[in-house]
Amino acid sequence: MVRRLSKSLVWFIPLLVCFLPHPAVAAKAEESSCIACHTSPRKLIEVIRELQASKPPVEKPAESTGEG
Amino acid sequence: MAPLEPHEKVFVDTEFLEIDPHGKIACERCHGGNPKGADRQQAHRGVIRDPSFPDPSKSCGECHVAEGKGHPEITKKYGTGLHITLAPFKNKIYRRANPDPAVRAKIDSAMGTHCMTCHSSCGQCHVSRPNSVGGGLTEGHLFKKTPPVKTNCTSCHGSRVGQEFHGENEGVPGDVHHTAHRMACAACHTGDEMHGSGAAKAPFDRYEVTNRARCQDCHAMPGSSAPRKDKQGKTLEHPSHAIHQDKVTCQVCHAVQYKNCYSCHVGKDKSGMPYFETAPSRMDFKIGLNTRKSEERPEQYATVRHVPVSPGLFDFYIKDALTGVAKAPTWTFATPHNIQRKTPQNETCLSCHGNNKLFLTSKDAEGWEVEANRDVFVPLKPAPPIRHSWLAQPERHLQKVDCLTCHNPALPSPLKDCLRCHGNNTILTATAAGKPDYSLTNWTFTNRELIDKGLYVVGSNRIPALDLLGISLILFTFVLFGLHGALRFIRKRRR
Repeated sequence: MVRRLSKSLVWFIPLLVCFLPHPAVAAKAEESSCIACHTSPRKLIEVIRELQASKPPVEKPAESTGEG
Repeated sequence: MAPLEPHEKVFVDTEFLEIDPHGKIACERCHGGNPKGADRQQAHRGVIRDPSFPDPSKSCGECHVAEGKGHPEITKKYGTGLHITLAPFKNKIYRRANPDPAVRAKIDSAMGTHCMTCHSSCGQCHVSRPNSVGGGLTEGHLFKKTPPVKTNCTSCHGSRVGQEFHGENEGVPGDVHHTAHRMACAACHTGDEMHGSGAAKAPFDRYEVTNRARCQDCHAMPGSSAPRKDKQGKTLEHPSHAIHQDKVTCQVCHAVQYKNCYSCHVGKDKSGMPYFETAPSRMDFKIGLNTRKSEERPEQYATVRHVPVSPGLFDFYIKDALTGVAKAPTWTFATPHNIQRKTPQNETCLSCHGNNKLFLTSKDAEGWEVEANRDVFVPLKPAPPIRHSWLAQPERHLQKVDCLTCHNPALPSPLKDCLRCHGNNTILTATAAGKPDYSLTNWTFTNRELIDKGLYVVGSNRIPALDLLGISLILFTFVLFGLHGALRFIRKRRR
């Protein structure tokens, strides 16, 4: 019985290691909120319109002249 | 460079997540924030826009790579990387600044608002446009090993170097490395130069960077069989290189007109927005004395560019900030990026020698600048006809005799003995003993360069092929005479 168990463990552990998600991949799956928004131009445009509506437009200084 | 729409600046391409190793790292690991936040505001709380600035060792430098290479090796040198530190701005302003600590504090504050905002970082070269030009991810967050020229290099270095290199100044051609060879900035300015040397002492400015680009990296100089680095470039065979090497910088002969900037002033407008203004720039070409002479840079003459510093630069913030303007030149050592093989000043010897317009003098400086540039002004020498007035007919000699005939670099000093030329069995009647190896005369019937210039060059008073032709014609004439005589003799005998 013990021998059978240890034999099955020999197969089970490598399989577990292979199929367990890698920490970085796992983290990526969790951060789907970042990716979901930043990979979608439509969502980004909507968010930026919202932001622009709520904030005054940023203007360049009127007096800058010449070359930097 | 077209500006990016706001959403383009933060758009992440899915390709980044699929093919870029950095796309496998969780966003918050570099950028912070809270991906589990209930809404946008919470998710973005604590977000770091550029994790690589000011200290990239905590972000880029964390990743494990082979020892001696890769990110940790690069990021630990960031303290000497001028793109991050912008140390030259401070170094050069401080040389001119009022030593009063209270004034220095005001200057620091003004520089923090204006000058020091133009820095870059790992991310602002390899991932996004620099913040100083509006920022924004360049290719959907894909990391570019070599930063793109237009969006990253010349977006900052555009007014002078970028326009010169790409030929965007009206009537001035672009750099031959760009126009003929399509070379980008990174072809010469490698990562080693950009990332800093890591030396204990940070360089004063870009001309002191250890791994900076040098013409000799690609072009083998006379006397050396190979370029400094394993790069290909034309070997410099023209005799002028042997003559001018270590006396003038490459740009003195090979650059053309470049931009000079004047009178920068900084301040804040009515709404508190920082601004700057400069006087109109001027295209000019000036040769000055090399104030940065060293073992590596022994040349006496160098191209110099006017920098926009002015005594009232920080007047908006504090008066008398730059009381030491005379302590540093306003015409500074420069390496214009519009290299040409042929330029107006290298057309002939007299295009440069005696052409006083090319040389920086006190007439090129405003009153307050004269003292500052005293070591850069070139003491003008008398015009060539005056310097050669000891000759019987100076103008005629200058017009008709190639300079190298007398100023032969193979001879210890210039020829001044008339009889060396005007006498029997002299260098004019025989091939000169001191004839340089690079004589323009070859085994050809015509020598276009000499004919075009209408010059006389020692050693080229006869073209060997023409000599041979003349001798052949004389011999042929004698042969014809002989043949004619022989035929007449035979005919007479038959009668």
